[in-house]
Amino acid sequence: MARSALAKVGRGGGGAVASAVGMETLRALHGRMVLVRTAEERLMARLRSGGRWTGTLHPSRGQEAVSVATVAHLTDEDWASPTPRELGVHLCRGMPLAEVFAHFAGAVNGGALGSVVSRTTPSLGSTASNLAVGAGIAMAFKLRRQPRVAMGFFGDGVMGTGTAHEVFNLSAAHGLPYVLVCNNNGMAFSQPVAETSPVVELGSRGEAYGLPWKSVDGTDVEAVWLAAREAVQRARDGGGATLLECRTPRLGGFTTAELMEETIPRDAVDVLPRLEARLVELGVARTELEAAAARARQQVDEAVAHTEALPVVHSAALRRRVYAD
Amino acid sequence: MAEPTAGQKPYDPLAFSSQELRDLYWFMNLNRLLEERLTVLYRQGQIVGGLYRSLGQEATSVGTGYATLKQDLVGPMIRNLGVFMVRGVSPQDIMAQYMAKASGPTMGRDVNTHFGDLSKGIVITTSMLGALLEVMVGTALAIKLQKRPDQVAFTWIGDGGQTNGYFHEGMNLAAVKKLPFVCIIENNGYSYSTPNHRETPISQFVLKARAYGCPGIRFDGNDVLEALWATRRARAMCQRGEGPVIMEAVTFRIRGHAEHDDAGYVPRELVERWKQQDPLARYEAQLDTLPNAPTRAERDEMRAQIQGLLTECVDKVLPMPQPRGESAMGGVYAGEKRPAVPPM
Repeated sequence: MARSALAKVGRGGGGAVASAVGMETLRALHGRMVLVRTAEERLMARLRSGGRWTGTLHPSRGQEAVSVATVAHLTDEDWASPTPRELGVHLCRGMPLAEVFAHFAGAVNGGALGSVVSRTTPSLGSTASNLAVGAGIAMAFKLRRQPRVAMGFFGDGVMGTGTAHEVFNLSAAHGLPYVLVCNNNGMAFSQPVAETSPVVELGSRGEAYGLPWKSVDGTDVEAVWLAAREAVQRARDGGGATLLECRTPRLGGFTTAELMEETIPRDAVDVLPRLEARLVELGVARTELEAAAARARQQVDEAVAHTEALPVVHSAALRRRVYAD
Repeated sequence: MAEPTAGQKPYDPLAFSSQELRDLYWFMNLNRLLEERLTVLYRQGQIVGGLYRSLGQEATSVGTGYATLKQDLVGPMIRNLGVFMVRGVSPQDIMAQYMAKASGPTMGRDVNTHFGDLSKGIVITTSMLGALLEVMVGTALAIKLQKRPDQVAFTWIGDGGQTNGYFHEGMNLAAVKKLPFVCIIENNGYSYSTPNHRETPISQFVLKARAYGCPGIRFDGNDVLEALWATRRARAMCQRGEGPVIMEAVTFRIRGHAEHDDAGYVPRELVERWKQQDPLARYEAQLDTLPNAPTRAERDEMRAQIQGLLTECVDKVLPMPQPRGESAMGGVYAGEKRPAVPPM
């Protein structure tokens, strides 16, 4: 509530309230979010046109801040465990766009998303598992006494699973250096959150575990960034795990295969135009935003061209990346 | 670590009838004295499998169990012998079960409290701690779907059991569907050898209710009247559609996890402190102050009756045969009520 009031004061009063995030960071976050959205839009179109583009994309449209503004606080040594709906995490952690596309285009160098280079674990379809994998990494950091942080992602549907319960409890009991990011987009496949959770504010479930928690508007990039900074700092300082809920609208449907248009909210706030309005309010020129969009389009064009020039993976390569070698 | 609770009691001790006071006394003593007999039998090598004592926790089993009504469905766990007996299971059946006798409730196929009796509203206990909670949420769902407003489902779980995923998935469903379900977390300080503080940073398990947006009631688990009073409140909430309810009984496991465990990992002084809170001794003292309570002479008489009853049971059950190997294939499929081969 306080945050939206702040934004309104900014708009109405002529002189905008300065961003606690800082202009350079805010511009960088915008650039990454534009790239994630452009890349996903292109992937969506390619996957629906068929041909060599196969597989399923879980669009993060409207939820890009959750992927982008959280991992912005991680260092190269930290790890993240995103779900398939956080393609942006892999990208922001340094996975090349062409490599991500290759994954969807059956190219030889394609493989499971996630890599040792980007320090992101493969996004597992059984989505609760990502949260557990991240907790394991956090446990390793703690046992090795490394000042590193792990960040795990999950949705509102996972909130009701036994895996989430066990991870929450373990993270709290052992004070793991872990940030548990819940992307509450209001829909678990086709089930509204009111049918899967008995409490409205999912983050508040942290109280049952002794986990510090926060619930923020996921369409407010600054709020997500600030809350994630606090959580990462706590983990790095030895203060243990934090449950961070980001409330978002699922603007892109469930997947390319099952769009579920009837579940897409019509009147929801879209995080990207909201951020752009905020940037303009803070004095950023429209032309600068347009330039960012053009840069993203160019990057995506190049990555698509690069990917389509690669041969389709041969069945003999199926065994690659299965065993350690 | 749980500490004995103290201070002002939330209930009126004068509100209980003389029959209720007598029944509670009878069942608490039956619970303890039966377990003492079982311990002797265990040391004699007569018990098959482990013996899971509830010494120091009898008030929780008896008080909560006594609050359930005939039509309710209950899923007690292994340490809730009192619940079984309050619901009408005889000490003889429990002895036969512990000694794997062919005449016992599971005909010697399973041991200890791993049995049920739907005629008494007892759903069969599963040995996987936590899994029983989901079964009981299922019965609560059935109660709701079949529109039986006078029924409530109950289960018991430990401080360790509530850490596993079953608990969460069951409670989440119960809360989303607003089921008439009471979950009693029996916090006895230790999950086998793991103390509370290594299990969770929260100080009270009743806080679990916050994850499910449901009412939570914490009570002194060594005060049988408070256990009864609190559970009746929880039951009434469920009947008003305010369920599910999470309850926390604050108590302590005086013995080890089972008789084979010497519990050397529990600090002696902690056990000594809790021994001062013995639920039977506390109830005796409370009865001395209540006008409608059985007199000391009547109580002595009741205990003597129980001892006589238990001696009869031991004498009867000891010579009973265990099942014959050939009978193992019987009673497996629906329609076969008894083993195809007679037990002996």
